[in-house]
Amino acid sequence: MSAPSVEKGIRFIREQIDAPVASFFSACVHCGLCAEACLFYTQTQDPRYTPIHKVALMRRVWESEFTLWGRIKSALGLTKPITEADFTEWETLVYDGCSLCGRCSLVCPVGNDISGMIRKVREGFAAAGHAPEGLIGATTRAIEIGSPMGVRLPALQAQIRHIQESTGLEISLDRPGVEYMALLSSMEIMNFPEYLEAIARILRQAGKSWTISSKAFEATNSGIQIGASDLARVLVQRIVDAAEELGVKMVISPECGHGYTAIRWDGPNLIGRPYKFKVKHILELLDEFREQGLIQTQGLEEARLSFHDPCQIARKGGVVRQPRALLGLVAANFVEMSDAGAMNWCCGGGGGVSANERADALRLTAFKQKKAQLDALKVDTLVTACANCRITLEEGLEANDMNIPVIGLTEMIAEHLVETDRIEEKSA
Amino acid sequence: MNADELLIWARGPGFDLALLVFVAGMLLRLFEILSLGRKRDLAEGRGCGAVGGLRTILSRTLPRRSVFLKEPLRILNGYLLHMGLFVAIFLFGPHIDFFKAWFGLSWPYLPSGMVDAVTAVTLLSLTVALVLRMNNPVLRLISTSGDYVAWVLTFLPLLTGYLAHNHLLLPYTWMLALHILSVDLLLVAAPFNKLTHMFAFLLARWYQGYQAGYRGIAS
Amino acid sequence: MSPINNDWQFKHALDDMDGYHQRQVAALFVRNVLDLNPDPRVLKALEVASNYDSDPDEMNSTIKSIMQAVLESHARCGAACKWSDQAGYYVARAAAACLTPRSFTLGKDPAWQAALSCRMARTSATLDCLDCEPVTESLKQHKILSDYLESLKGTEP
Repeated sequence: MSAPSVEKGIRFIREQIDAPVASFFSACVHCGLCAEACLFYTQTQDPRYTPIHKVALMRRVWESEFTLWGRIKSALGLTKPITEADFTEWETLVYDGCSLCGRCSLVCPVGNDISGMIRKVREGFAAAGHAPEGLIGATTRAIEIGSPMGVRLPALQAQIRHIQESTGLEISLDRPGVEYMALLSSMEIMNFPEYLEAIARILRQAGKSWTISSKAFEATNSGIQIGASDLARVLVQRIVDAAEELGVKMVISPECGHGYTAIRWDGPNLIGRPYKFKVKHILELLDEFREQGLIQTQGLEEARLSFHDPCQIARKGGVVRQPRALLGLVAANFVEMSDAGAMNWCCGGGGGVSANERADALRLTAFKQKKAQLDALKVDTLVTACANCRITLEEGLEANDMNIPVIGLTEMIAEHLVETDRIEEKSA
Repeated sequence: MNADELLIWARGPGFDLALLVFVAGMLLRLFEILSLGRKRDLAEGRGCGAVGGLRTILSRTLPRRSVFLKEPLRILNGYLLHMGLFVAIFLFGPHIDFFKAWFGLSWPYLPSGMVDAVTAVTLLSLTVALVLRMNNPVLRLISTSGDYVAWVLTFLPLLTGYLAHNHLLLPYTWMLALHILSVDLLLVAAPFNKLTHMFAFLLARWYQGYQAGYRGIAS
Repeated sequence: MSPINNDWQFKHALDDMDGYHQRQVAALFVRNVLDLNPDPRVLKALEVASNYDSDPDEMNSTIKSIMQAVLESHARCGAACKWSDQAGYYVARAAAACLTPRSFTLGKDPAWQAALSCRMARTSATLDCLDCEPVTESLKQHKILSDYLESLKGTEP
């Protein structure tokens, strides 16, 4: 692999330009409405965070190399070449000031997928050596260790042992021929062990066979966030190899936003072929269990609560109906935020922003958008379905002196699950 | 060259040439876009891409509620501007006579007094758009010289048409000649600036809508 | 009452306790892993949790500071994990569980929550270390609870 350079960065940007990108730039009238959709702009009022401005370097490459007029201008020396200074200037806009939430793409009047272009332009920034330290570290660990946070198998095994000990549930590694292979995010292994316990309880109650691969238990994909498709491909391939080797019918994506995008949508395109298994987000699966009557719940949460839609799951994943149906089972006082569902506001920590320490202050400023939504609702509890959203929300709430607990939806369903024939009872 | 000669040139050979550049230029732009191609989405879909594409082509015509509430003036002005241009270009009697002579197609038109009023409003709307562009920090940052060139190119035919129709400023023949010249100029330049959005928005909406429809996600 | 030998007995014994006794025994579990997190906010939380009639204002400010301690010690998304630090996070979480209202924890028993987090703390502390002793925190907790219940017999009729 050649060393990062401006030339390499430009080449990678060039390689990302396809017919949709060319149509987007050809259609853009510089109306600036995308700014109003972006929490980094609305909360800072800094025009540099206007989404379409974030892809200005890609626009320059497109104009000078893919249009007749631009080529004439270049030939006459009228085009300003892209320099190291440009990459430096735009780096913070592309990584710190964008969570790839995709809201801008939904408001653009001419239909430009601006967020998709920001994802693409990151390929150029990574190749030019202009990615944030935090994301470089995470990606390196993901490739070398298998987890962006450096979580190794013994840590997972220890967590499994804990759950088995305290609940009597069996969680097996590498069991071939089962129906499902569950993925986890490092955040769940490190900070929220309750997720693994929750799915173990629910899958047992639903009577489903499942396993976790010791070779590919990590759902997150730092390669997608940093914009390094070659590395993202390696990470996806590990999961695909493990799932196909075990012969599972479905891979379950955990409560992680971009992990779902990575395995559900980007994965097959990265490895260049469709999978031999299906991929579902845990909420899709839980809702299927609900529909099929495989799980029942008891009791209702009385707290006034709302659901924070993780961008990659709702807006970019299309999983909007399912969390509502699941909350309908267990919540007596569910209220919707303004702009809920596909138009929900991001927590501010997605797209690698929360892994990028440099962006901390900006992220907390952007959080004010979520604060405004919550202030209007006055909820007692916030439910979500992404470990990264959860931490980002907790930090934002704390910073704003808001005393609202944040709970994972899967865990909430597990806590209300009617469990028949619990193994722990038998062992007594 | 006197006014009559200029008018004859502008609406004759001048217009022919401008139209040729316009059509060839737009076709070139279309080719520049389409020839880049795109990869097939290999992820398992949930729905139909084409349905999604068509749906987004229509649905994106209306603004999202939350954005509309933040920028009602800019959005309403956008509608006004586009509808005004449509009326002034396509529903003015003499224009339709011109199209009929050229392409053999004609359709009903509005009373010229009404088109005149709409033109005045559209000129005002374009002026508002310019003022917004020069004063709003976001618009100022993302605007290029091309945006202002496109504004002038759009403004001139409207202005000269309005002046000609109302016999203002210059003798009618002169103003009409300038009007048609400014249209020639607009046609020649349109394929090489952001006025390509007049067709590219369909492609952009189609591409985003297609992916969304295929994946079963919002667009 | 027979000594507690397994988690089933352990959990049921906790289930039968009222809020105050739950908090007290939870604090005892956390005290057993205090070596993993020297944060004074943890100690303060345990003091308040063990106190029968804590002042509500003091209770609220302690909850706030222990929640802060939890947030400050969690691993950030994408950061390199240090399991020794993570042990501190679980201790803080356990201390927070002693005080958190049940409405914040889906109605789970605070003492059970604290016990699980203490076990995770002890395990986390050994993950980076190759020749550490296998973890027996749950056995220790069974004994702590047995002793506590035994001690109650002397004080309460």
